[in-house]
Amino acid sequence: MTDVPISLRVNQSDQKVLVRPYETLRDVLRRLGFTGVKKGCDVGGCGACTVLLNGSPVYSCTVFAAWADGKEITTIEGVRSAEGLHPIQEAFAEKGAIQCGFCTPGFVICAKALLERNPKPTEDEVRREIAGNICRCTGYVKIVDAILSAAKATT
Amino acid sequence: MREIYRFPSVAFRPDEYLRAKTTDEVVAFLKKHGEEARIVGGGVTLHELGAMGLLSRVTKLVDIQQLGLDYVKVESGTIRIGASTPIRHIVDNDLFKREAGLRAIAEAADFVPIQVVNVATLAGALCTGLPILSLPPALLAADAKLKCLSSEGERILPLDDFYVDYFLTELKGDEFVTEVLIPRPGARVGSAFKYEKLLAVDYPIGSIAVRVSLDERGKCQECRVATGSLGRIPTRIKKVEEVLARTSVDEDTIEKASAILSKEIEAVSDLRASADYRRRLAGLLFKEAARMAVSRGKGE
Repeated sequence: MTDVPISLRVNQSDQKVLVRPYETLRDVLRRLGFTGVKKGCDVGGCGACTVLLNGSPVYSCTVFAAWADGKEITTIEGVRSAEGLHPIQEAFAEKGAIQCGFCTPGFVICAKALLERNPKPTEDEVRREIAGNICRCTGYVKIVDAILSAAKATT
Repeated sequence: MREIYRFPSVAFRPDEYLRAKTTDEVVAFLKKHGEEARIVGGGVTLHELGAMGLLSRVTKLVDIQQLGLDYVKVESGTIRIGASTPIRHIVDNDLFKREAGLRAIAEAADFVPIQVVNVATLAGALCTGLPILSLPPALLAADAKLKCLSSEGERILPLDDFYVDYFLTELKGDEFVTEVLIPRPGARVGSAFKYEKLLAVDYPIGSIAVRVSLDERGKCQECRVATGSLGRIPTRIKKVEEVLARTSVDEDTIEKASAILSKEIEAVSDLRASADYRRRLAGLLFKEAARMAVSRGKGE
């Protein structure tokens, strides 16, 4: 087995890492310490491992780490700024859109991508964006509320 | 004995990953490794099938991102889409939304989850040979062709002749797809894609794409109808096309064609739907898609 050398730019910092040919981007990110990237279903069905790849949400469990060579990655650890939580994170806390919290990083990442592209989404647009993320606690109502209220707060 | 849960990612462990720089390198790699090798487009289906234990023979991967095949170009009446173009670039490209003859492709590409649309490629969706994806019927109705490369040279394969059986396509040994070619439809061509699914995020249980070319008086000159998620392969239904051709595609003709479609298609039963349900569903989806394609062709 030949390891593959790759470079990733994760949350604005350059990382050089040797990966196994079968390793997923998720496993490599977790190995680098970004454990906010959650391991859920493992087959691209639950969205807990969602990260931004060149600005777009992807399931990091169905992307080969070697495929992501040279790409820019944002994980939940890169969402907050030096000043504090991101407005979307604030809104999730404020609206009680979190129960066990396992799915939350994936939802926040998707919401961030949506609001950057479309600062004033409708409820339908929000629901479509997060369709690929599963939450087994909240029933989604408060998650949708939180994203819509973050949109209001930032525009 | 108690079964121990194994994470699916443990089931699929290729031992070589080549980032090819040239198409020759890809062909040589496929020739050397044969059935053990697979192309990585976005890699989504590879992971899904690998996790189910269906790719136990696959140990060598070749990545085609560095071949410069990420583009959508329009050249002398043909739309050329490179093999590593993600589906997202089809969704975001106005051409497919703007032209009535290409709308079916825009509709089939714009599915959820967005996480898959962002990395999965159009060529990958066509080449996996999975009958449940939405893009193959839309591309069949659009009369797409595939440019394929192998050690024997280049050939153009109509998508019409591409699908053989579940997961099985006409691609031979060291052959791979470099480009998807779509003839650009002219004026008065309308198309539509319709599907039904059980959950917010799921594969369709039936899908249908219709494309009609109308003359000045609104009469149908040519028609293409293709189905997905119903049988073992994405299929053109030529008997239905014949019923619509040279008619004004009025309600009576659509009803008649719908009945023939329900009878004509090969439908399978699985955990999502019975064959009988799929047949009835296909008839209904066809009516909606045909009406919409005609109205778009007339510029309504």
